[in-house]
Amino acid sequence: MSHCRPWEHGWSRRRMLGALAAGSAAAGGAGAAGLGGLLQPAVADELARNDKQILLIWLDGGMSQLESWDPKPNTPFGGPFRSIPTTLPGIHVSELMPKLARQMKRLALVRSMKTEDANHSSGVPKIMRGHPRNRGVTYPFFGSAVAKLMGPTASGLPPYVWVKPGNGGFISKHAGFLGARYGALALGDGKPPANLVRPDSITSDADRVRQELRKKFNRQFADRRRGDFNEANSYVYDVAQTLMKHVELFDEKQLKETDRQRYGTHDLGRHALLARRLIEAGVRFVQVTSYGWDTHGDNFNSHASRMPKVDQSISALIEDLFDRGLDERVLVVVMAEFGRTPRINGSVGRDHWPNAWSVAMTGCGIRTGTVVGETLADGTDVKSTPYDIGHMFHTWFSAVGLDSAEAQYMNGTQPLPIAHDDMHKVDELLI
Amino acid sequence: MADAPKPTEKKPPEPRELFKLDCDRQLMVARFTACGRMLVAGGYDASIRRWDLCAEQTVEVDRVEGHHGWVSWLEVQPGGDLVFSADTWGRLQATRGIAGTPEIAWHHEQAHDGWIRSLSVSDDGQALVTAGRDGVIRVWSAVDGKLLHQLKDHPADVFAVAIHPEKKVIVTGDLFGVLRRFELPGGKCVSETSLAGMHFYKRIQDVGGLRLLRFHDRGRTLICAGGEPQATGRAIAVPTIHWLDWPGLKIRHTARLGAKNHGFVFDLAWHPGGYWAVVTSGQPGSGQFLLLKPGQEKPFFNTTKMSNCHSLAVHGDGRIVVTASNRNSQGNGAVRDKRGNYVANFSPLHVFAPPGSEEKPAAG
Repeated sequence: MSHCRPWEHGWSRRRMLGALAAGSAAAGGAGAAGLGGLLQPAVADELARNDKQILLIWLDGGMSQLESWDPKPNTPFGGPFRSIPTTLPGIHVSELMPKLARQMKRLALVRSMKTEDANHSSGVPKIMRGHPRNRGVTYPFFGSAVAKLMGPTASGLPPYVWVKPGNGGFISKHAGFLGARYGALALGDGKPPANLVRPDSITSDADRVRQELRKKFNRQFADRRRGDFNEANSYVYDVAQTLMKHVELFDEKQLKETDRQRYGTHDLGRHALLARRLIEAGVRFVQVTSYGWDTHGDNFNSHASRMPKVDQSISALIEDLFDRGLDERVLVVVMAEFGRTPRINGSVGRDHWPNAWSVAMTGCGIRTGTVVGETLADGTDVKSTPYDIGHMFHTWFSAVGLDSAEAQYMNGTQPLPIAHDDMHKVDELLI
Repeated sequence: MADAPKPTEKKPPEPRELFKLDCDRQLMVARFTACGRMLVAGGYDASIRRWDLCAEQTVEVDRVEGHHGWVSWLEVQPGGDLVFSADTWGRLQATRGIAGTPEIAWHHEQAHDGWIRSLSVSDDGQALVTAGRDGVIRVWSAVDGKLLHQLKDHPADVFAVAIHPEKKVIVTGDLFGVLRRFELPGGKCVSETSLAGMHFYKRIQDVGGLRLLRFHDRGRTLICAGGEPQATGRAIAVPTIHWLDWPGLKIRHTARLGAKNHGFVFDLAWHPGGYWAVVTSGQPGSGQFLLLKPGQEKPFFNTTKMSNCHSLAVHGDGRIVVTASNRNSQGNGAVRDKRGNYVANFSPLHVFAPPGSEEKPAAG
């Protein structure tokens, strides 16, 4: 009886690619860039096509579904804004997102999200982990899960990169029981880790000696500490080494001014543009976070200010992914931990609302031009079949080629499903 | 040595709440008609609500329909019979006979492309000016709704607009706390003044603090009100009013009317008793109704009994109405009433007798 599991095949393939890439590098090529030289072009293309990636846009705090994907104009809870038609007949979105309205044929939308947690502190991790059944372990965030299940691409770049405002660093807690090394490499404000580039005053030979010394110290350090901690510690240095080979990713001078303007010069625009470049460079999972969506006060002016930036940057991103053919191998998801209440509070805000909200997606494996689910006319509940985040995890894993009904993690000797075992993929969303 | 006894401070008289009117939806603005017979209000249900003050007991009468989205602003014609109302879908409407049998005198379905942010009527009641989220300022004939002037391409989302009593100048306040002065009829922008502190940017959100503009004292004073924003998300601010000399635009006096985690001045009006009546709203339950004498930094009366105050109006007889939002209006998740219904919030209207009035609160 075979005990192998899908991700083990993934590792094998990756090892093969890694070996090929290493061979290529040894032959004078450089990593993945040399891959085509060792394979038939058609095979290389096929590998590239099948090497799926994921880009998650996370609107932290909870974007209002009523001011974005699921407007209810002229209803008691509809708010001040109008809705506008999209390129999908009969489907309207908020007037605050005219560019995304034109991209709707390239998107799939779920308007019947119904989740359990109305708190940020517990809701964020639940959504990020796909809220699996409680088995007494801490499940990984989506990015860490993908990092484990699919590993790095042939590029060798770190598999989980998080572009966020504020500070960066290596965020090991996202990895849960998988172990710290599957954490997120966070690029604070889209900047590379400090001192990434070797200073000119240090020659490459001197740098090599330093790295050997570091490894030696690491081994001594490791002897006195837990294995997973050491692994992560060592891994962070390896990641830094890898990134040093891709410093051009962070060189904003290489950006086209037209791209800057299309994405926007605000945080979200800059970070979404960096995300596209990270995806193009081969990062397996990129998360872009925009903070500050917890609009308990002044919700409508807040969305009037925020939504045009979302509209601008995400529509530019989708446009580029499709124009470059990346939609065939990149899954894009736009979501938050919940939506916002239909009821408008006394400070003209909307509060937390997991009862009926929306998630948007596009890219590989996704049936674009689809709207799944429906809310009541006043937006106060889901009218059709409700979907939880577990359904989405099954769907997204399936979209990137993972059989979430069969695949399992191993936590020591404990097999664990990779998504909620009572839930299933949403076939309407998949090709 | 014993301290000298402090002179007894006489507590100034305070306004007394006479009665409260119920409204089943949230309101953004309330005004008394020029004749004083009717209280009119607009809000989240796209209609003009009316309360007949001359009835034995104040009662709500038929609504005036026609608007969409929210009725974002409403003003009465000084000395006239018209009520001007604007909504968030761009409709501008003039209603005649609102104290009796109302009829729409004129309207523009698309006076602006979307949210009409502000509306101001000239002192003589002959012109009104509107500012939209579309970045356009328009001046209209109050009598027939004819477009008189149009100022296009305002560089930012306009939050506030006012027309000078002489009708030769319009001022606007935008999302970035910039005060602009435009000359009529050409519509040329002749000055820009940044009101430091009335704008905040973080995490892809601009929070605008300049939300209300009013000329006062026959145009010799310009009032810039709103708040000094401190954060995005909850959009907290210090409620702030600046009084500026006109036309020099020098800040003569500033009153900061709350803590950093409070909110914005939502409305204000000059009371014939010689003071400003002001309402503020921000953090849940942080609404204030306060009375402030000219040149003072602290109000002589302040109550926080009403949750989140959004508008006020002063009647010719001195009574003041304050619209608030109901308490317990906040809540994450599906907070429901006792019957299990998911209900909208609503705006009670509190009617006050001015300080020193002998009027007694209504029984019951």
